[in-house]
This record gives sequence, structure tokens and C-alpha cells, in this order.
Amino acid sequence: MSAISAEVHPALVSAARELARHATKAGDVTVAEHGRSYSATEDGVTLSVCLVRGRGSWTVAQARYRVPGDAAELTGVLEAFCRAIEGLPLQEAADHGAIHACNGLRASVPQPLVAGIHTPRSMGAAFMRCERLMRAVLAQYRTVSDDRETRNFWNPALSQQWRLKTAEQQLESLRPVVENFRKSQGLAESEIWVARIEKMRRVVIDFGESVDAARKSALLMDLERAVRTATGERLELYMEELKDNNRIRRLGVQPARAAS
Amino acid sequence: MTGMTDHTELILDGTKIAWHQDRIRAWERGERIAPITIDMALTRACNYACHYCYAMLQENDRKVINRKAIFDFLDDCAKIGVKGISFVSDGESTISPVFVDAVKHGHELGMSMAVGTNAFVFNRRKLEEILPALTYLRVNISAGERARYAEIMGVKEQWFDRVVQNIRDMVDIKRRDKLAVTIGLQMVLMPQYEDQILPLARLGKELRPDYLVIKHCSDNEDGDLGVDYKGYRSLYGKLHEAEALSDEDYRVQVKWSKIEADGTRSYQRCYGAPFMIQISGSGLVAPCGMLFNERYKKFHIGNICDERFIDIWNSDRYWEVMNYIAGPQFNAQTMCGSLCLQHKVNEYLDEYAKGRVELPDLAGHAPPPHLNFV
Repeated sequence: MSAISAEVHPALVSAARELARHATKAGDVTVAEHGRSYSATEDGVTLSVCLVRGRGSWTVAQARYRVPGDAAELTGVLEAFCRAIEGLPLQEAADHGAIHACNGLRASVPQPLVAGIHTPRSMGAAFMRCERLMRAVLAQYRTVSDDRETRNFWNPALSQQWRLKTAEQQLESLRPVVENFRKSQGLAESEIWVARIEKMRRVVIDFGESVDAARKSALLMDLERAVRTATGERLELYMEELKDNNRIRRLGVQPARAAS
Repeated sequence: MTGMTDHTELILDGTKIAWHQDRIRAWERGERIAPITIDMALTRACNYACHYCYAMLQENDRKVINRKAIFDFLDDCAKIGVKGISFVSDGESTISPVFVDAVKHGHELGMSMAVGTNAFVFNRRKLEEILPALTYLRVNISAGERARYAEIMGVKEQWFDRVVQNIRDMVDIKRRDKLAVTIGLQMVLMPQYEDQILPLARLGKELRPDYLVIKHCSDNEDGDLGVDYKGYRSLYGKLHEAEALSDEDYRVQVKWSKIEADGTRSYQRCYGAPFMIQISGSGLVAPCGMLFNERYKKFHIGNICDERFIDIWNSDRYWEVMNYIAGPQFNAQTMCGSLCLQHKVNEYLDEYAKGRVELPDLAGHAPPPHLNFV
């Protein structure tokens, strides 16, 4: 699990080659009505994107690439990159597109690929190249627009289907996921359950007293992964908040919400 | 902070992360890096009841950090390459029976040690013991007048007198023994404490610590402490007036970059935690103090009262959590409270990861004081 400088991390080579064999994003973009297209080239590798005006920002409607010669691993990474950034705001594609692409390729390789943090650099030179190309595209966009906003407030939205559900319907759709997870972990019915959903996105989980405190952390993260996979929604799992146990502070003042 | 100037002055509103380029590069290569700084408390208990106290929101499964636990922890930190440890976090560390020994042991191991405290339980003897071992001692004091001090910090008025005397003593000991320790005062400013900005700045000028820093108040993602970030704007005049009280040996510094941020973040990923983690006074190891509450259990990594820190740091679980907050599954803008300890480090690393800044060439430049507290 050492750091690598190759085109692609060794663990991703087969996934990249497989993607290259089933490439659908090779070629050039077709410019959509009211769209704008930009492209950037580095060492003969070209990334082209077509942007359309979304809600408040320019969004990548289409992304394509061209790779000279036979470079299966680079092709696979560019394919993953283009698939990952289509539908993303331009700023998000430039800021985090490479890591989205890496996560797409890593889907079949769930174990950690490095000992520390997964960064584009630690995933291989091809990801860095994608990042540079996309940022060159963003720079081109800035030269022809008056948009100087570099902050990125994008957050994956919940689907309309999820938002239209009542809280009870949302809970109902989570119960089988939690049930399957419970069984897979050898937990009793009285040991883990969904308490409620807050603000559509935050799922509060309760544990029975018999569940070891040290185990709950990993269980929550694993269950969150299962919930996100099953629903396709970026839901967030939490436990119940613990109130301040400091008697002096508690008697002195409480947070605004608690007081209101 | 560009890193291109020599810093003979304290950086009180910025980050020193650019001076730790070896760790930044190792982090980027996907290696396991030891934190440069660990902020922790030796207990979650506190003898004060400050109105702005974020520790109210940080309750978790309490355990006692005893002498063995803290000594093992400090030994592990020194072994893996932690450079600085500050006893601040979510409790009043000075009331822990292991406080003095912990400061001295960490110092003997070669690490930089620091303390943030209300300074109530000190006495001259205790100060004589710890000051030589500290890089900085910062006193939390959010008012300059007895009655308001008692109101804001939830204590009796006469406690103010004792704290003021302790500040006088620490300044005196530092001067007498020509100690390198930096003595600071810190005001956590809520807009409603406006009347105390100038009295405190003047009190500092009289007591002669090295600095008074005036900072924003953090709040959680739902705003449970009710901090009115827009309300800070009306205080700018008084804050500038306070800064004007600075002189050659006493500096008043407002943390403008955080106050002017209106409680918002420009970044979504938390890259700073592996460089600077926090440990609760319960022994809980988590990436950040804002995630201490039991509610954020999924981010909890281990407890130094149960396991050796070196094993926690070296565990897949530690790096799973660090990867989670550095990855697309996490959004610090919506899933975290405001203006956390790692905020300036996060800002810098985010700009670096986005290719907007490059690591500066620091050859020949003098590093800033307190380098090990990033």
C-alpha cells in the first residue's frame, strides 16, 4: 500500500482497462442548444466539455476525451472521469472531479488503496492529468465570462422521489435495509433500529444497551454505506445527541435551542 | 499567510501549515502521517459555566484520563512524531490531578506543550512548575470587569480577582526567569459582549501579557448556541479601537479572518484533521471537537483510556474516518459546525488541493514562533 507514481494505482489497473474496453465517452462533444463548449489538451490528450446553464451555475452536460495511441489505463481513467463529471456543476467538476472518478473506479475495489488519504496524486498520474485538463477548461470559461466566483457550495441533492415521500414513507423504505444489515451483523431486533429522520436527510439510529459502545462507530459507518447504496440518496446517519453532563454548566446556561 | 516573509511575530490569525511541507507531501502521496498538533483536554469537567461554551455540545461517553493513560499517550505521540500538544479542547485541564505532570512529561519528551485555561486553580507554586515547560499559556477571559466577568463566565465576582492575580504572577515569573513561554489572553466574543471589548483590552495593557486575542464564537451546524454572526459587523469600530491599544510588548489581535467569514466555509472537505486532531477530555479520539458528541459516533475512532494511541493512529479505522471526511461522502459546509479549530488549515490545504496555491519555497526564511501549533 505504498504511494505510487504510475499512470494508475496498481489496484485500479484492471478496472481501468475494463472500462476502456466499454468506453462510451471517447470522441468530441456535441454542442447543446444554449450550451458552451471548451476543450483542453495536454501531451495530445484532449478533454472536451459542453456546459449548459443549470440552476445558478454552469453544469457539465457532456464530457468527452481523445487519447492518442493505445493507452488503456489512461483511457479507462478518462472514461471514468467523464462519466463522473457529467451532471456536476463546472466548479465541482474542476474541484473534485478526479476524486469522484477514482471513487467510480474503486467501486469494485472497496478496500483502501493507500495507507493514508486517497488523493488524486496517490491514485496515479492519470487522475492528476484529468484534474489539470478540467482546471484548464475552467480557466478558459473564466476568460470568456465575468464569473469570478470560485467558492463551491454544491451538495448532492436528494432525489425528487425521496423528497416527495412522507417521513413515515422514508422510514418505511429504510427499514428493510436496516433489517438486512442487522442480520448480517448478527444483531438482535432490540439492538439496532431507526429512531427517526430529521430534515429529510439525517437518519437517527438507536442501539440497544447490549451493543458494545466501541462497536457502534463502525456499525454506523457501515450502515450508512448500506443505506446510501440501497437508496441512492446521500443520507447521513447519526445517533441521539447526548446532553451536557456538566452540572455547573447545565445549571448555568443551556444552548439557545434547548432554552426556547 | 504566504510563507514568504520572516515571522518574528506570533501568527494569531492564520496557519503555519505551509512550514510543514514534508507532511503535506506525505499526506498527498497517501502515507500515514502523524498529526503535527494534537489539541486535547485532560478532563471534560470544568469549574466554570461560560455562556458561549462549545463544550456544552460535546458530551460523549466519559472516561477518566489517569496518569498511566496520559503518560502512555504522550510517549506514543513523541514516538510517532507529534510535535505539539495543547491542553485546550472540551474541558478545564488544570483541574485534572495529572495536569502538571502531563505538561512536564510532554516537555521532557521534546514536544511543545501549551495550555488554554480559565486560570482559576493556579497558584504561584504551580505556575513556577509549569511555565518553563510551556510554549504558551492562554487565559480564557471574556470580560474586563468583575460583574460582567461573573455573568459571562458563570462564576462569582471574586473569581475575577483571583484570575487577575494569577495573570500578574505568570507575567512576573516569565520576566523574572526570562522564560520563552508566551502568555496570552483570549476573549471569546459574542456580539452581546461588546461592552467588554475595550475594558478587557485595557486590562490586558495593565497586566502586560504578550497578547490579547479576540475571536468569534463557534456554533454547531444547527446554530444551537445562537451565535449571531451578522452581529459582529457592528463591533468592527470597537475592535479596531482595541487593536490600537497594542504597543511594543502587548499586542491586541482580532481574528478578523474568522469573524469576517460570517460563520461560513469556502471548502467542503476536511483535509486538516490528519495534521491536527482533537481528543476529548473523556479520552475520545475524533477528527475534530465538533464531532465529539455521541450524536457523531460514526466519526469516533477510539479512546486513549482503553487503547494505546499509537495503535489507534495506526488502525484502519482511524484512516477510514480521515478518508471519509476528506472525500465526497462528506460536506463540511453542511455536516459540521462553524469555524472549527482546523478551519485555517483546511482553507490552506483546500486551496492547495485545488491548485490555487503552491507550497512556498521557505529556504532561508525564519519559521514563525509556535511552529508546532499549526
